Amino acid sequence: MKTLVKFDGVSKRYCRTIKTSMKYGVKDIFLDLLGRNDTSILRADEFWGVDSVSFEVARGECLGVIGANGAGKSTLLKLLSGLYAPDKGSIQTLGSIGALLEVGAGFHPLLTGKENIYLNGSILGMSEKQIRQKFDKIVQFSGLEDYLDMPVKNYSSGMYVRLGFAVASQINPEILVVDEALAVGDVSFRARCLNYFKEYLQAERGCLVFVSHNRHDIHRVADRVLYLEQGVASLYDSAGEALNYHDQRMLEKNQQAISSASSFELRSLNFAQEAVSVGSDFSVIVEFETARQFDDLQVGYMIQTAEGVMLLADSHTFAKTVAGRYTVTLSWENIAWAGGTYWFGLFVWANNRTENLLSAANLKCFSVSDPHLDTLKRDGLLVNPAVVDVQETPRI
Amino acid sequence: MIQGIFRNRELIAQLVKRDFVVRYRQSYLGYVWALLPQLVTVGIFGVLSSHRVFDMGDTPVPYVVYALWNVSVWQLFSNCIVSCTSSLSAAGSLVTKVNFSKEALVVASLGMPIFDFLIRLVPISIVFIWYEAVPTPGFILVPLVLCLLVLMAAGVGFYCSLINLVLRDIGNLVSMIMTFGIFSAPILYPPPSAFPFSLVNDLNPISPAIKAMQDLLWRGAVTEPVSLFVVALLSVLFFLSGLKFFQVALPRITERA
Repeated sequence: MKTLVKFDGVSKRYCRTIKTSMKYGVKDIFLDLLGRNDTSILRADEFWGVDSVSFEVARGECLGVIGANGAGKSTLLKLLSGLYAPDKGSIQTLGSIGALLEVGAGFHPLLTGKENIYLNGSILGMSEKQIRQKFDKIVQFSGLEDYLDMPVKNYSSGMYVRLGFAVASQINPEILVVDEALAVGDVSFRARCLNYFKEYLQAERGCLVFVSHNRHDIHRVADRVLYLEQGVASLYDSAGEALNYHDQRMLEKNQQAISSASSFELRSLNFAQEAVSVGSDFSVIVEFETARQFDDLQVGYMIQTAEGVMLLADSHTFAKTVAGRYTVTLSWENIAWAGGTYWFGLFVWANNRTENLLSAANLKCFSVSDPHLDTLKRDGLLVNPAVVDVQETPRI
Repeated sequence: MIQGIFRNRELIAQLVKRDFVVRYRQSYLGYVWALLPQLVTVGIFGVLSSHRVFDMGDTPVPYVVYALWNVSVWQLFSNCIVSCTSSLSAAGSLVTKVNFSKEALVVASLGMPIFDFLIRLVPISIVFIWYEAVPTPGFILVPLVLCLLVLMAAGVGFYCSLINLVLRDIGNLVSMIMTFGIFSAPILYPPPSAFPFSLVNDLNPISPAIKAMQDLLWRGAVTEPVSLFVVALLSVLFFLSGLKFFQVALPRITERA
């Protein structure tokens, strides 16, 4: 397969303060004009926004880019699309680049949808004749047939995205760069976009570099994943592996401070198994101490996905408990939860749920690995494959 | 370098069309706004002049004709610069989020000022006929001189549009210079000949072009061809250096915009 994008040790400097940034900017322009600018060293107040990133993307391949806010994802895409010049390293691209960094950039609010199709198309490099030929396809893809004569200032953000993506999809670039653009589209449109990506990749019309915070989108489209953390990239051959690592890192930062009543203290919470995978057992060991007697103590537990979707929530009521230390073990056998990262949450109530002793929805996170995640392209909350029985039906 | 602009002609046409449609979409008076400012300026100076509030000196044709023509030319020049200067900053995320030839934005921003000027030719012709200030055959060369002015404006515009992206003072500075700059060229008064004031006119690169057009319209020949040649050279120089600066500095400015 032919390599279409090649990043070789690409770095980009950023400056912390606006004043110094302006000063350096003037210097840089002056030195650029003279053609003798050494950009490979950091000056005072500067840091690498993107630091020595190397990767290749071949035709028919999709690279997903993930990372926390400010990790350098957008900078990477701007470097790729040619908006920024790298300060160090080199970027080689083969073929035309179609970048969708902000949907609707270039739309004029007073112009109608139809007029904006022509305007945006020509900004993206299409001739008027080409746009005219593809106009019907663009409209069909956007699904906005009824709103074409309306000024786009009255469009919803989702409609903006639809129109923007519909135009961009028709320029047939060999390197398609998409930044988090689809997040505001509705379910049907996102499905349409993902289908478009798949078709585009399968037909080997080019390669796709795709930034998303949505793990399902990444998982469905990306062949490999680039995980960025403070400008430094790590490349994963498996989307699932990268997503798990990423989620765990992200969630650990969000660990909740535990608020509990004075008569109740959570001493520790541990997972019994070091590694959990689909089909294995999973146990949580909770140690707590009570300072007085409770007539009924209710322990609620819940497991949420990284996106906050409730996987399960249940509770157990203890009979009369005297003051003292307790160890409670919650066990699941042969778990069927899909590979991914989860939050474990714990709640404790007393007196028929009138007194809350502990409340922590995001108490600790854990990952479930699924060795078949990438090969089978599994998705969803549960790993619950159907029993498949195939029999040839005789023709009569 | 210049091929790039030619290659983007369709985009430039679309951008001009956008500006045009947007400007008249939410307006009842429409074209009137292209005419009103210059008619008012000339009207005020006409009244002041006819009441001898101050002496305009000897003009080769009736004062109203003289002023109307010159003010229109000046407005073409100054509107081109002002419009270029704000062209990138007005484009918003288009500059920072889409990779295409941004020169097209600057060049396209010349569209509306030029269009306005063409509209103004209608009242100008009427006034010319009314005052029987029939131009000499030399007026055929006037468009060429106008092109030089537009070229110079675009050159200045390349510099200003980029700098205005990171330093908004430039926009204000340019509008101010253009408002008062009208007094630095023989536009509302004939060129002064006394020393300290003549200097302003002599150093102003616009003056020879303005004067050359007056000569072509009413005298039949250019009286100072050397200074006109210098202006032509300057215009080309401004344009090419501006374009070069634009292309080299754009990535650095985009990072900071």
